[in-house]
Amino acid sequence: MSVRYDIVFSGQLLPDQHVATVKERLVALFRSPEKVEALFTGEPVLVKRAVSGPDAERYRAAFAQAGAVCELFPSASPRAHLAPPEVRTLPYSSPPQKPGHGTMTYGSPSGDGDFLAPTEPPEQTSKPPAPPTVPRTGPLPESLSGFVGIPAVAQRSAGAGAIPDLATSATPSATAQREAHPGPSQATPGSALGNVEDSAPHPAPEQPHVAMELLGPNTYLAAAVPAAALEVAEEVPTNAAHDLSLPRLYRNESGEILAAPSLGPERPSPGRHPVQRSAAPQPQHPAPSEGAATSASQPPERASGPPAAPPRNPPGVASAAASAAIHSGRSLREQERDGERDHTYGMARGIDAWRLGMTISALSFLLVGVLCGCGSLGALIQAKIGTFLVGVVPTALWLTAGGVLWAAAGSLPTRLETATTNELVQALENHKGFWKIWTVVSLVGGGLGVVALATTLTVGDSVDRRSGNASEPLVVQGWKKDAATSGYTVELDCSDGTLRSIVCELAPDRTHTCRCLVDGEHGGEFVSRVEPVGLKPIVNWARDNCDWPLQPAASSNAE
Amino acid sequence: MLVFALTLVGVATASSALLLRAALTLRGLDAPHSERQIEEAIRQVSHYWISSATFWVVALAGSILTFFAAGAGVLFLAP
Repeated sequence: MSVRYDIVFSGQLLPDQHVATVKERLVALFRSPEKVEALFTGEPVLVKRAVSGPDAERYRAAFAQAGAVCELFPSASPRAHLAPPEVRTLPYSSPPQKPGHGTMTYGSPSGDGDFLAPTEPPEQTSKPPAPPTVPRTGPLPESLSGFVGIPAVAQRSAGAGAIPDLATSATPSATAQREAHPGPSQATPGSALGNVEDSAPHPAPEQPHVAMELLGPNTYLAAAVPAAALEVAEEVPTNAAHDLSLPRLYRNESGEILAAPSLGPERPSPGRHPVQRSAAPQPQHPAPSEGAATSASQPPERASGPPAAPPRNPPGVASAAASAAIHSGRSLREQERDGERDHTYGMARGIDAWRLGMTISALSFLLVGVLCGCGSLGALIQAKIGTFLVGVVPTALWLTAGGVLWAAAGSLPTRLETATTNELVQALENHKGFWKIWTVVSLVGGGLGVVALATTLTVGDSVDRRSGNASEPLVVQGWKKDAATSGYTVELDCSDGTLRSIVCELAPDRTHTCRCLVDGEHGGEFVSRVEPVGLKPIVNWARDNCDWPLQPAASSNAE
Repeated sequence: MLVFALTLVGVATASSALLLRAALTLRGLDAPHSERQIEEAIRQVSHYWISSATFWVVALAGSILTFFAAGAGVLFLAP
């Protein structure tokens, strides 16, 4: 099943873009000023839910063309919106229910065991949060056709202020915010914020399972989200859950956004250990209470200016446990420099070896194809059409398989020195579709190539031998001549296992009309004015008239 | 020529088996797994590919060397 994305717009603009201009473009795009105004509330707005990857990219491109930046989040499994939560609320922050299903997702970094075995949930380190009791009112407004949006979020959060970094939850202001809202809770996994009527309890995460969900290209949120989940699990005492579709948003019981980490950089600042990074002061977004006023009063300013430089550290990584679990933000180069190698390092090195193996295999395939091609070309030069035609097939197959394999090797990520875990896994995910196609093509093509090669060596050579074009001489291992008044017959037992006969009939003009037969099949006709006697004259006579590359055996009796 | 063909068939069979295992290993990534498990899967897949490539290199090098050795033998040793 392909990954689907929720498209969220937070009011962020591209550099040197003015909000008025962007709004005009978006109005032209959506053809509704009201919809566009709803986008610029200063809070994240869900533009479209659960769209496919290509469609999500089109959305992103359309927003970029308008001068705005929309964000793609892996949809919280469309089934989670449609089916009861117990059917599927994975993969975010819950132990996997059954291996072999769903999208590729990071499980717990501490997971052990065989690769194909189900991920064992780690030991529970905190009390699982109780089912959320978030009061949700009103179905998803569909008035904004084209949007599946979450204006409710925008409306509520307009009073909640700017979305602070989750890391600020450890700050006094965040503490004050929590005190102000003693019962913080989040949206239920798999539900869109504010668009679900029911308040039925959903299974809360049973353990702080650090999960990474594949995001769109160049979107690196995973490190922040699981850490945020951990952070909330540790610090938010009750009714804590998270929203799958918008995992960055955390709300209290009244629906106000409590804390939400912004998109962080793809990797932390170089040379800093994650634990150190987590202990270091985080670039702070306004605290919820502060952000409330800021966002409510000045939402356009957030959108009008150039986007603020992203914080250097992944947001939401506020605890040592969380940051130690999320090593994936560090590139291979950084790990080597720091002398600390995590799973990213192993993945990168594995993909390096993988690419090397694929490349060598591709070169081998191409070499075999070239050899087959040379053989076919040689057969063509020698006018051995049978060998040439049969040899062309494996040549094409081997060359095709080699080319496809070469392309497959090229599809693997090459920027290992600077790659992060998410980039590696994203590349792996992209490679899997290609891989499946190649597996089928190579297996079928390889099988056909082997069959064709064997055919070349047997049928093609046989065809050419029958047509007299065989390159190797046929040794006459035995012979017999029967004479009669109406003519004579010569039979030659050849080394290729064939019985070659020349049947000659006396013509009125005292010549002989002779037919060349290979295992009884007609192979030519000629008129002979002589009647050879003895093996060597017969062999020479047959070779000249039937185009058979015959030669007498060394031990043959000349008579 | 027959030896060459048989070598190719053998190597292709062994290589296909390895790559099939690699494909199955990669298919296992559809399920949620930890970083360590993904790393292990990648390591296994790379191992299969390296093994397959080694088979091909050895087989092709052996075949080519055998071909040239046979040619040299015919050229220099034949009466």
